[in-house]
Order: sequence, then C-alpha cells, then structure tokens
Amino acid sequence: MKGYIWDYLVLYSLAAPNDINKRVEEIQDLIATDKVRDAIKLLLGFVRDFSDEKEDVNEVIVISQKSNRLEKLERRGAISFDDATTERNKLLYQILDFMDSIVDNLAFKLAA
Amino acid sequence: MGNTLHQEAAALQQIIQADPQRGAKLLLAFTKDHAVTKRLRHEALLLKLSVIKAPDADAMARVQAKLLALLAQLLEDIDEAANKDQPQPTAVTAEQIDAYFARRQPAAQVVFEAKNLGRTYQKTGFSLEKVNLQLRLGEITSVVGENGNGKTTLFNIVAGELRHDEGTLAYPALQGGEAMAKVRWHRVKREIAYIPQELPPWDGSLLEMLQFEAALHGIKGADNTREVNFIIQRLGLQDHLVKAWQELSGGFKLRFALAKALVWKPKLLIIDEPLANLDIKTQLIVLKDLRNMSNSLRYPIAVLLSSQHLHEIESVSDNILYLRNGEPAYYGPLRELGTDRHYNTFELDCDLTLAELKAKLADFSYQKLYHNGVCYVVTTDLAITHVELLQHLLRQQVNLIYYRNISQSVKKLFEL
Repeated sequence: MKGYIWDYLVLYSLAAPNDINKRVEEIQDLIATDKVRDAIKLLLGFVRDFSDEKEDVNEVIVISQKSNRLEKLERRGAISFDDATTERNKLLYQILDFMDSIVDNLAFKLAA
Repeated sequence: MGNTLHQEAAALQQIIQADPQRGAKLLLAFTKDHAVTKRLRHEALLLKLSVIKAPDADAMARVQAKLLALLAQLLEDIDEAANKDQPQPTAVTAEQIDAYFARRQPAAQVVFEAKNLGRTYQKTGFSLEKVNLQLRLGEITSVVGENGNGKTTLFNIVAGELRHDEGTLAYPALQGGEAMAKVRWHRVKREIAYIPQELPPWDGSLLEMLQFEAALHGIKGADNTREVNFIIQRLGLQDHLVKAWQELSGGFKLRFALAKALVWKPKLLIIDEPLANLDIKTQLIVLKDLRNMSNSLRYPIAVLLSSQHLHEIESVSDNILYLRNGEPAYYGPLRELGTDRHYNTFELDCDLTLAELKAKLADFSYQKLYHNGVCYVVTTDLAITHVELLQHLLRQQVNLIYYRNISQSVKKLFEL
C-alpha cells in the first residue's frame, strides 16, 4: 500500500469472470504498475476459479505469504534494494509462470 | 522478419535510450504482440516494474541496458521463428469456460426472490410494504433510503431472522433450483451469511475464530487450514491474526467479520451498513473485495448491502432498491436509474455566494439553482450536458472545488 488515495481507485476487476485472458492481463498489468498486493488478491480469486487442484490454492497462498514477508522486510529497511529486487523478481516470475500453467491446464482439460 | 518490424524495433531502441520509462511501456506492448516465448513477455513486464522501482540513475542505467538486451533477444527470436513452423498456442475462450462451468453448477442463479413482501410492527405502526426483490449470484444489490425506512427489517426477513406477514419469498438456488412454496429454513440458512451493523465481539484470537467458524460449517482438517489461509490472504488480514477483538480498529473488525462470513463460501451475503465508521481507504478496500468475491466464477455470491455512502456503493452495485416510507420508490438496475428523467442535475461547489453564482450563470440556460446545505445544485434541460455546464463555468472563471453529474445517481432519489 502506498498511502495515496489514487492507489485505491482501481476499484475492482473489470474483466468478466469467464474471460480468462483478460483476467490474466489484469493481473499482469497490476504487476507492471507496482500493485503487487492487488495482483496477488486477484490471483487468489483466479486460481480458485480456474484450477481444480487444491495444491494450486495452497501454492498461491504461499506466494501471497512470501510477498507479505518481503514487503515487511522492505518497509523495515531490513533488506537491500538489490536483494529485494532479486527476491521480488523470483516471486513475480513464479506468479507469471503459475498463471500460465493454470491457463495451459485448463486449455488441456477443455480440449479433452 | 519484415522491414516494418525492424523499423519499429529501431524506433523502440531509440525511445529506450532517450526515455527508459516510456521505452519499458512500449517494449511491453511490443513483446505482447511479437514475443515468441512467454518468458520474454514476462521479462518485459518485470523490467517495466524495475523502471518504476529504480531508486537512482545507476539502477535506471542497469534497467535500460536490460531493456535493450531484451529487445535484441526478441528480434533474434522472431528471426529464428520465422524460419520454423511454430505450433500455435491454444487459446481458452469465455464460451468454453461457460460450457465447462455449466456442467458443474446448478442452473438456478436466483438466490432470493420476494413478491409484495411486507411486515407490519403493531406497536409502532411502521410497515414495510410491497417489496419485490430478486437477488442473483454474482450481483450486488444495494438498499438505500433514509434511516427508519425498513432496510434492517428487510435484511432480517431475507436472512430468515424475522417473519414476513405479507407476500411470498423463495430461495431457488438454495433449495435445489426450485421455487418451493415452503422454505426449508434449515437448508437455506446454511448458505446465508448475515453481518449486522453492530458486530458481535468474540473471544480468543482472530485466527482461532476463523478456524472455528469454518469447522462449524463442516470444513475440517487440511481443508480448514487452506480455506482459513485463503480468506486471510484474500482480505489482507495476515498482520492481525493473534489480536483479540478489542485490539482491532473498526475497519479491521468489519474485515474480520467479512472473513468470518466468507470463509465457508456462502451463496448469499447480507451486510448492513458495512461502510459506516470506516475511513475512505478502508471503504474502498471493502467494496473492492466485495465486488471481486461476489464475481467469482466458481463460488459466486449474491450480495445484499445497505449504505448511506451513495457514490461509493454506486461504484460496485448492479441493482438499487430505494426505500421511502417503507415502500420501494425505485428498484432496478443501477444503469437504468434516471433513464426516464425529465431534466439533468449537477452538483457543484465553489467559493461564490448564491447571488454571485447566479450572475455567472445569467446567460446560461438552467432551470433551478439552489444550495442544499452542502453544495450547489443546478438543474437543466436534458439537452444540456455536463460538459457544456462545466465549460461555461470554466469560461466564467468559477473556481470549482467540486463538480458532479448526478442525473443518473442514487443521490437524486433523495431529492436533496
């Protein structure tokens, strides 16, 4: 959270719930504009909607927990900028790959 | 690779060198259109974030170098791919998803339906009357009206906490899809979460309370842990888990009440005045969470809420029920509100007196101008748009502090 009111003004997902591609794009756009917490909140809903695997829900919970921990370390100044960037990028790659795998699995299931 | 793409890439290279922030944005769009692998698209996305986060010129220079390297890699990949037959990725369409979920979910989307619903209090003589209401999965219906007009009475009836004495009600999606004459309350109530305005306190830590609530609804073992963790992360409550009720601010009390209600995935959520006593940031967070969770594809929720924060609820509501003197004065989709109006209404505030503002509007065609105690209200013919009035005020150098077109707003129902 930045503390500015305009950070809260993207009120909610504008994508139709069944528009998986648009939902992926929304999450990606939030990441690219440094709204990682909002992105993870939408990712939680995304995984719940499109994955049948309980393990996927657990994985996104772990991602969210890791992101919170990193955010706290950054807030406290307990991690250098470079280390924080490396950690954050690892986490964000994980999110992006994870979303892709969910879309691919669903595509596979729908094609079957 | 075509010449056009090469020219585009060369232009992009120059932009990255001159303005990395703009370059990162354009490179992201370029990779979305042309990248052969997802990996490069992801890299472009994270580089755009790195540009935002770069703390100094050195860091920015490093990011700039990475942007240029990524562009070079991208061009190389495109050239290579042009010489090969690439398999096309399979796209998932909304229609396929609808068909997939239609096989798994009951067709009935109407959670609650009331016809001519009413309730009279013999002692006070107050009556709630003629309420027609339909709540659907994935929709938010907001009930507005002045205090004492029957909102809480209606909520108690919908939640099964109070008997109605007029009309009929049914819960089709909660009773196997059929609009049964007799409501099976034991079955229906298992799917309804009701958050009253006065939140009841609880003992123990918040984490224990959520685990207990999930267990009460049959969610046990690993499922319990997962569902509780999910809702904690979903609502951003992780920093307050060991706190007791009295240690929480009003905003977090409400968010925990919401977590307690949503952890067992109800189909109908009734929430009375959720925005009362919340600061503006918390209001937006709560509304955003409500909207996103009600929209879920797998676990959609019908939400019934009441609030006096009219503009805020307008931003998330699908339907509006306006109660006046215990009767619906408006019920319907928010987007249809005011479509049958005969004039436009605008609110504005500035540092002028009423007489001074009237003078500024002397050569502008308006119907009424008055001060409602908070701001000025101007009404005009339908032909006058909000842009025309705004342009006139700006031309007249009116120092506007606030301006809003409320012609199709819930606020207009209150006739302030």
